[in-house]
Amino acid sequence: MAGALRRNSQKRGEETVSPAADRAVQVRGLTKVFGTGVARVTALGGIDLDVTRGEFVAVMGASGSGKSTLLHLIGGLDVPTGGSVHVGGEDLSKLDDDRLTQLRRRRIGFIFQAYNLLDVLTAEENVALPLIIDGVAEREAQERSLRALELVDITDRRQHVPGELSGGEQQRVAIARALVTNPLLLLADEPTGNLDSAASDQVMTLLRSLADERRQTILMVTHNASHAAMADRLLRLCDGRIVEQQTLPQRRSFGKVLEDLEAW
Amino acid sequence: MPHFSTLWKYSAREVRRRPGRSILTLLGIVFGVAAIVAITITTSTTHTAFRSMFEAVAGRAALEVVPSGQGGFDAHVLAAVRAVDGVQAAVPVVQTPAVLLGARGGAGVLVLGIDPRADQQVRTYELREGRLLDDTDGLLLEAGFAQAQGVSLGQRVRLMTPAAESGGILAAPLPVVGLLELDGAATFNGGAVAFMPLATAQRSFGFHERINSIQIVLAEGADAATVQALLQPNLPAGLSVQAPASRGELAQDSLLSTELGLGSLSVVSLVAGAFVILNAFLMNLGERRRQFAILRALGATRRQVTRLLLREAAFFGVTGAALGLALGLGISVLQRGIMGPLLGVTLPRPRLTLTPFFLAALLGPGMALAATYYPARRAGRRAPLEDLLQKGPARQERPRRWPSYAGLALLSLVFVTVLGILEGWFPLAVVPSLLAPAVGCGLAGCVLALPLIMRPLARLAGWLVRPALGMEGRLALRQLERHPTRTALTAGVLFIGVAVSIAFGQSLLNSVRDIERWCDENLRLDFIVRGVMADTSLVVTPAPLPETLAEELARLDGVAFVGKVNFIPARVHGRQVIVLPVSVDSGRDMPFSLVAGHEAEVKRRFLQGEVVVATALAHRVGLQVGDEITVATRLGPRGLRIAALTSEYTVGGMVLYMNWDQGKELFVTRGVHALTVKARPGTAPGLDGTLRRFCGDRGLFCQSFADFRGLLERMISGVVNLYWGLVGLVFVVASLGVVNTLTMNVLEQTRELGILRAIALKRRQVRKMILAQALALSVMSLLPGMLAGVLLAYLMNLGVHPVLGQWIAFHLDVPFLAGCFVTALAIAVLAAWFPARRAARLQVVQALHYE
Repeated sequence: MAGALRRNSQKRGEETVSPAADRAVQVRGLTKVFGTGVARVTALGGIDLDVTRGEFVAVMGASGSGKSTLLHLIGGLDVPTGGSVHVGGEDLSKLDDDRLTQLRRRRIGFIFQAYNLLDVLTAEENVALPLIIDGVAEREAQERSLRALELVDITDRRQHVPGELSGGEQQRVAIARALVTNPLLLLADEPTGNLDSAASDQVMTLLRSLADERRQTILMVTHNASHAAMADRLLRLCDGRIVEQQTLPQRRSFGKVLEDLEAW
Repeated sequence: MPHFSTLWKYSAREVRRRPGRSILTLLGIVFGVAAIVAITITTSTTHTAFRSMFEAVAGRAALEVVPSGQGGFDAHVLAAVRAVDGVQAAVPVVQTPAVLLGARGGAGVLVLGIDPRADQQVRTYELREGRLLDDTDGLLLEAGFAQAQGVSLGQRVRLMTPAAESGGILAAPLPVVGLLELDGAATFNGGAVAFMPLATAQRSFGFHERINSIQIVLAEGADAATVQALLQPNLPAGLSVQAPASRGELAQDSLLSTELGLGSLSVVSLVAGAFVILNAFLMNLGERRRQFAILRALGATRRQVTRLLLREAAFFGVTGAALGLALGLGISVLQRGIMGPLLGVTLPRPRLTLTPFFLAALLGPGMALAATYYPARRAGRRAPLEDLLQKGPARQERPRRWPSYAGLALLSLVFVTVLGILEGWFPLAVVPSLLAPAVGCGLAGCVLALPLIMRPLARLAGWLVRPALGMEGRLALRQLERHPTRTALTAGVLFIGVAVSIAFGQSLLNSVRDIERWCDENLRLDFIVRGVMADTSLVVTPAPLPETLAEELARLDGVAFVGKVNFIPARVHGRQVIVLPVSVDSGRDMPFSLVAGHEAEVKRRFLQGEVVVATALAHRVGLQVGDEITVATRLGPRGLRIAALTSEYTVGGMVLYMNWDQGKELFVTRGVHALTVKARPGTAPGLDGTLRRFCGDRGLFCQSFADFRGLLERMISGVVNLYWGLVGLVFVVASLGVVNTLTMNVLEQTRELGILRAIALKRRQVRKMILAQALALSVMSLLPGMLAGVLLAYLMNLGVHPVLGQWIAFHLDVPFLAGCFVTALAIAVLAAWFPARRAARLQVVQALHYE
């Protein structure tokens, strides 16, 4: 039972086959082109990707390789030029703006490099915000917000506004906000980009534990190889295409390893 | 259903975070609402003041029978009146203005001669001291008025009357038998009313057992219009039935042009306020675009974001409405202090109805929502991704064109309206009510269309600013060009300040100049003698004096001629007007100037019984020289040929002149209301002293022409100061708009300023750059603002024509225009002080890292 590194180069049309019910994300032939004429830029040139529920996938690549664009398209923040994106079985192209927004609200949690907290609200209020927007009663939203803050171990700072928190603390609040709706999928765009090494390690440990203990599906864009190595699978993008895929079984928790053994 | 407490907290904290911007937004609403509320209350108070005065003094009487003119009629008419179905009670009255001579001189007072027993059916009297009237001679006065005149209970007072038989100018003194509370009929003109037995009044005022009013209380359920229709055919010729309040109709006409101006100003305030709110909110949204993108990324729909912003606007609207209402009420109290002297009466306290509250509740939130709907919708529809990824200032957006086209459409509409007014497409009665909306739409259209000429204006500003301010000027202009929408809106707010100042100021100056011209050309007198200074409507206080006074005055050394003038309320083509019978000496000029016509020929026809009509009246009834004008007289309706037209400001131009004898014949004039004195050449200074002594001995009121001119200027100055006060508020709000924009510009340029400071610029140069932005904004707004102001002034000039029936000469006051230009420029530069200081004090290192 060795965790062997397998190197795959995904070719166009090849699918990573998973049972449909287990798929959090399914992407087929995804393309995104910006501009026209001489200013035309192909950010993504036909991506096929499946992300299983509970999987922690890291996406790496040079600047301009299309990794953030991929994240934005999966998160419904942008519209593809071609191809399809299914999140939780829902075809995003068939959703109007309101339903797409609802999907983002309930099924997707975003973690941004710049945290993107509202600086006039406290940590607790920031975390509760997606619930409030979704119409959850104030009291219930508060309770769930508190549980999410406990998960990221920052309850003692919950009454502070972002300006009074360190970078690491802010990012943890952002993670709590992303988790508070129990999303199907967490999308993290360079979550450690603005953090020092200690805070970065904290955040990555947190994300890893979410994947292990809560079977949270995570798709993370990162420049940092050591952070990427903490994922279950690594995708490498270049010029808008997936050029390399690695499954990284040695990063799974001991419990997960035992599962694999029993399945075998 | 989303719960809003967290979202309300978010909104509230965002508002608190930008106090300057929030105050600016609030001020825009407060100012607009306050102006509308104040002007509405003042207009309704002045409109109702005269009506309610006469309604109060009439007590429960819903109708009254009155003669045309000043003559009385036989009391036997009472029997016919009482016999009509629907009449519960009919009481005889002699009602006439007079002068009461108290310790502090003469005071105008309305005298009511009443039947002490029968009058209880019409009026109730709240007695404070003494007793009510009986058949013996006596006087009831309102307690406060008595105190003000230095009169106490039991004291004997004199009244001036026109009846020579009652002992000359001064009637026999009458004892004050009772003092009344300020209530009911005693509230007339702030208590300036005196009650005496009918017989005493008949004797004192020369009515010889006749009366001049029958006041009618209707039976329960009886309809006034029906009773009026039943009664009129049963009355002798020369008598008519009217509501008591209609005696005050004329006051409305005398205020019409003032009200038009105030109405226009209130509409302009709303427009200015709306643009200020739009400016502030657009900036607000620009700063918060990333926050809205976060909300959208978290799952807020477009509608939710839009509604969030509209809720904030509604909050401002409600708060602004409450504050605006309070400010408006305060301003209306101030206005009352101005309008009272202008009208020459004591105005009642503003009666609070639901209207101002309703207006504030509608306009405050209405303005805020209307101004923010478009920005809120835009904010909701923005794609969140771009704003999430954007670092630093937003990329320059292409400005939308449709607001400019809407502005052009508005201007076209105004142009067509003006053309229609000039060509007579609209009924005359409608024209004054078109003025305020036309001015408001014109202003809004100019501001919306301004972006279309921003580029050439910016080039012009560059051409002017760069030579003076060099490289700093270049940098300043670049920043302004980067944000065309914001620049256009801020220039628009300044534009409004300048245009409004020039439009109203120039219009005021032209009007004041015309009034002064009228005064100089029309008042062909050296002195005027009367019982007391009359009110502006000439229905409350022109007190009659004996005609023999004219002969006494004529005998004074230095007097060349004494003319007689009366002011008689009458009806012409259904309108209430003042008929002025005047005495004319065949060897002298007419006592007024003519708009057209040869004076000698007009005088000849005037003395033969033709009349001279004020242009405003002629315009309203659609008549010209040579036409017949129908006047209701004691002998029935009479058609009188119009000999000429004259320019007239008295009672808003609702005036008709006839010769003195004709007046006596048609209206039975009682005494004389005013005597005009012309001095022999070179004797006026000496005659001044003689006349004042003569008048002082008799308790008469004497004014030289200079005195009258000075009084007129004081009356006008109150209204003029009110205008300037309101215009000044527009400027304050406009300057706050400039501060707002420049502060925003500084914030967005922080990194750039950091770079400039790091490599080259001194603090002084940074300040100069911000100052250059203010100057450039000024140039971009002042030039079109001045042009628009002049055009608006011309438009307002046109609007006066239907009111006055004549054109007011349109002059451009170059010193005034120059003063407005310099003031606006100074305000813009002062407004740049704080942002410039802020920019100069930026910490370079922090600025370099600013995103």
